[in-house]
Amino acid sequence: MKRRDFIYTSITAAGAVFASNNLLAADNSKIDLVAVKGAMPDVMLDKAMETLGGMKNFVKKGQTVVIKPNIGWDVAPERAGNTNPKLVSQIIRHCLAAGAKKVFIFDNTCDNWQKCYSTSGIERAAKDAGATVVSGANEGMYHNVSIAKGKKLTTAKVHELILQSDVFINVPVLKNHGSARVTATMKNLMGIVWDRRFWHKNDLHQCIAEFASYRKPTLNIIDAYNVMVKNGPRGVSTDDVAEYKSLIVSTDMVAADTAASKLIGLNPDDVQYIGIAASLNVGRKNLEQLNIKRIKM
Amino acid sequence: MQLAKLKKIRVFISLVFLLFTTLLFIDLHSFIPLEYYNKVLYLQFIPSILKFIFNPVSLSLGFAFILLLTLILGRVYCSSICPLGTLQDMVIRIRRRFKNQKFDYSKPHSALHYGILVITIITLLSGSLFLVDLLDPLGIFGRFAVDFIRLPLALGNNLLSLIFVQFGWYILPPVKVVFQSLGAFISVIVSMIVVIWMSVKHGRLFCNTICPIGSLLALFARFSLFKIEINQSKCEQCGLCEQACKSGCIDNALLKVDFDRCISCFNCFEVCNLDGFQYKCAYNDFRNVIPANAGIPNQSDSLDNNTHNKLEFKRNPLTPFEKGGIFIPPFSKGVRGFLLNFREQFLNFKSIPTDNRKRTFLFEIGCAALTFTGIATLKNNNSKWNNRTPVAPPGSVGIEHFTERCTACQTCVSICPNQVLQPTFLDYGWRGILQPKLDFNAGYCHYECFDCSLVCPTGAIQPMNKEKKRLIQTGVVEFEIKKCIVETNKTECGACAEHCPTKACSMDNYKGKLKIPVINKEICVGCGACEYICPVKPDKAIYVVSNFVHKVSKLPANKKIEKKPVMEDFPF
Repeated sequence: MKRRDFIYTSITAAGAVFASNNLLAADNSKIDLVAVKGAMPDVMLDKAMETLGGMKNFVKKGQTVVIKPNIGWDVAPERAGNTNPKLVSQIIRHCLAAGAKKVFIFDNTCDNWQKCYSTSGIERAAKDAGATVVSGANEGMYHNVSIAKGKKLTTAKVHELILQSDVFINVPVLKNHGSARVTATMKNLMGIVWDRRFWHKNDLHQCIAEFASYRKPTLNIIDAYNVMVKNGPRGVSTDDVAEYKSLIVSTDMVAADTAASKLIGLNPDDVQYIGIAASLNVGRKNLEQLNIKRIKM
Repeated sequence: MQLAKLKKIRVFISLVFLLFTTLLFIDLHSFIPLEYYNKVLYLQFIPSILKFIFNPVSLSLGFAFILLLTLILGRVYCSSICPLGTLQDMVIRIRRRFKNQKFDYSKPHSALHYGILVITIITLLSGSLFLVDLLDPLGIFGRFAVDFIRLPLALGNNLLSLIFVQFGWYILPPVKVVFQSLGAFISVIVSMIVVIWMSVKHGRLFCNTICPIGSLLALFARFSLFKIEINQSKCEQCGLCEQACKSGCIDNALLKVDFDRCISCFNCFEVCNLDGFQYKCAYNDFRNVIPANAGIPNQSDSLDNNTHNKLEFKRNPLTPFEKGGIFIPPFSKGVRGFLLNFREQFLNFKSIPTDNRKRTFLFEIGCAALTFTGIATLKNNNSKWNNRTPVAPPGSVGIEHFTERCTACQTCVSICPNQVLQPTFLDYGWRGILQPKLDFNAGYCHYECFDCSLVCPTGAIQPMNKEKKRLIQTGVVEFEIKKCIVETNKTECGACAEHCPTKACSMDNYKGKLKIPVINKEICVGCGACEYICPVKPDKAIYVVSNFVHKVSKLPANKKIEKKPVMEDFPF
């Protein structure tokens, strides 16, 4: 297996290097990351999905889909504390169009979940788009799983929608974060486990990286339309928010977080969990070796 | 038999009030708009009168309406509006299903009943709500509803929610369940046992021996315009009415109704086959009532001269009591004068043996002791973790203001979306027994939420809005670096800064590449989010120190960020 892996990675790496020099060849090889800029969130999503060959590449007919946006805080959409509701509803539409049987939305919020769901605008948007909105505050819906690669975080209670659904789409909003430095795809997974205090107590960065090794989301979509660049992750006012009008889509969480931290002006090497996750083979950190599509609209 | 219909009307009205009041306390999914709370609770006597006394502008005149109603019809409040009264009626009804319970005429316990009223008033004057918190029927009912109806409902809701999920029905959302302090819980159980035992054994004995509203309204019922009387020409003394009387106030042998104790339940009207009752306009008898209670022979013998003079004063036909029938407490003569006057006028001392020296002594000792529940225990204590001064809810102005007004009815506890408001036992001292505090083990006070202020029936938590709420500083953050994860484990944490709504707690550079919390007390609102989420157990590294009097916090200064051109190249 190891040899095969090695051959595979070297081939793709070589391909990526080649692709970065040769635009014609890039179209044929696998795209690792799509970054879009300059339009409304739903329009950018359409463009990104088109580039990736459509949602049908990720969602098969009759499958159940769980979408995990960031709905952590009871703040209005313009505060950019939560994922943009427009983006969430557009993802739901894509999933349903691809033939998804059912689409679920949930988050284990920090503030009171009802207030978060309604103030963020996500509950309304998701229901209107045809998804089932599920509370993340039901402890009985979290089940113990063991994390094979975990040293500090060996077990975690994970929401059953993540365990049961065929497709898992991770939709964080890009934000500055006081202790994690940046919150994007891997940090967003804290919202699918029950006990987060344990993570804070036992080396936050290590836990974030170890948990990222548990399950790879089918797709990661980072909302960077409005970005909270300071006072994250909750923010104090709209003065913390800058308009980036960007979107990052990838199946690789490490790559996505690396790109996201660069976007927000951070050196990815300063974000510990990205490095740890890369060493745990959660994904690839070296963006130069990846096939990245950069689209300005 | 037109009068018999009155009972049916009474039952209907009482069930409507009970239903509405109960719904307020068990509304798990916030179906009831918060502005309805004060409308439904408007007529509740003690909250209404407290609100009026402290803030007459609030136009909280529910109590005045009740007094007026009592002056016209008698204690209909006790039979129809008071939720605890109706609850007792239900207990009595259930009891009757198992055993055909018959009530007898019982002698009045005037000394006890009015004594409790007097002591309650005295403790109130001393700033202690100890007795009000314990005895206010709405409070007893509210605590019962929260602990014995809301809690099982919430647990059942969560179980049902999980069962539904198994079938793929995501229709019933879960409810946050917090188990409150043991002391508070036990006191609720005890008070419920007392009330239920009393009603099972003796009908509405609680209302006629313990409830301070009962005794206050009894005083007014004495002068009510309409009174229930036995129609002596028609009564055949069959005794049915006496057996049906929950208050034990019908004396069939003497053909008398003790209207002080009558709660106007109209059961007697219903059972009487002979038209033997009348709801009679009693205005002409008004003057006859007073001499029956006022004359106290040989009382002065056992009292000193000073009191003797006061007694003389009370016997004066021009005491304020007799002018127009409205009792004006003669505070000018001091509390003792007031007490003695009260005892003379209202407590039927004729029935009490002559060793009242002892009684007077005990009575006064009791008053003094309870008065101390108001004065002795208010102090700020932040030295020990487990014995910290509680943080009073936002809008309550401060601990003193809050403990003087809150009747521990738990309305706010039942609606608090984050369940941070939890009843205490003696955290505020005896004067504030059972009153709620911000319990940061249970949750934290949401930055923009002011729901509790909308529902508080007493004005203990004053109305506010979002803008005002953001500036109320209920307490101030304190950080102990030596307990902090970042210091002890040398790993990142930052849970506190993450949750802080104002960035009164933010992360700053520390050893190596670590970041450590730094606090800015000026902009802290004391919401307790940092304390709640801090993973250090059991003594948190970051916590809120209560503000004895709430302060105004500064709004967080926030610099606008410089805008970058959106369309520059991707940095990767």
